[in-house]
Amino acid sequence: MITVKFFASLREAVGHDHVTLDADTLPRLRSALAERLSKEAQQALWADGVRLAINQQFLASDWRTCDDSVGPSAEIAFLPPVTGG
Amino acid sequence: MHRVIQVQQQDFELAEHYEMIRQHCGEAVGAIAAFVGLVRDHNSHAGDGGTVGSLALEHYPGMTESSICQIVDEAEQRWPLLAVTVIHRVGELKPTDQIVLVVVASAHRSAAFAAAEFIMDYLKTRAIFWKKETSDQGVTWVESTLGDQQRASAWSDQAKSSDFA
Repeated sequence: MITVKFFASLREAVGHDHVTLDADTLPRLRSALAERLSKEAQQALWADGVRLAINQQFLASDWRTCDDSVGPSAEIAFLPPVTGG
Repeated sequence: MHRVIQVQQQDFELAEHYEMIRQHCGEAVGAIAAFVGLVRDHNSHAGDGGTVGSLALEHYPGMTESSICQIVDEAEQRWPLLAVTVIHRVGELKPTDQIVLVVVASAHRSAAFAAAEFIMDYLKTRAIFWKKETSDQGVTWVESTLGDQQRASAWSDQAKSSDFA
């Protein structure tokens, strides 16, 4: 099982701060999220500017089209655009 | 180089961190630049600046600290630094509350000033924080402003166009 975390506006759109899913690749993650989440939540996650981190490292490519695999107990996080300082 | 990077809910004391850096630097130090960012009472959205009642800052424990570490690494590559302290607060904050502290020590003032400004500009655009504003116009997640992005990208333009260090 992998843990998928949602931060800030994405957490509010999804309604949970994390979910656990069975997925070993990003395509499987996408279909698992599409099955499980509302249309509004999916729209928020699939929006431009949203970045994905795997085990606290940013994925260099676009998560929406990337085919990478993910480790068996990976921590995945969805991050909206940041606003520090 | 001595470095302290902390993300915390509690407030910080500039004098305490200044003293700590001064103790660590020894005799090589010639300049310490310090910056404290405070919560403004007006929001940053152009035109309709409502009065901000409070801010809520959120972070990703672990990843936020490493994003700040990377910014400090870059500053260290550009300037000869002796010590850097970055404290960033999270949680509920009100106007005039302290939100961020950057203290930089170097042998010379130009490096200390420049590195402190560089670290702040990159904190605004690259460090992993999210700000939610509650104002008289409602509750909104703040978006990074174009001005902030331009300030940060000006540093990389400068690196490309010269050997400035």
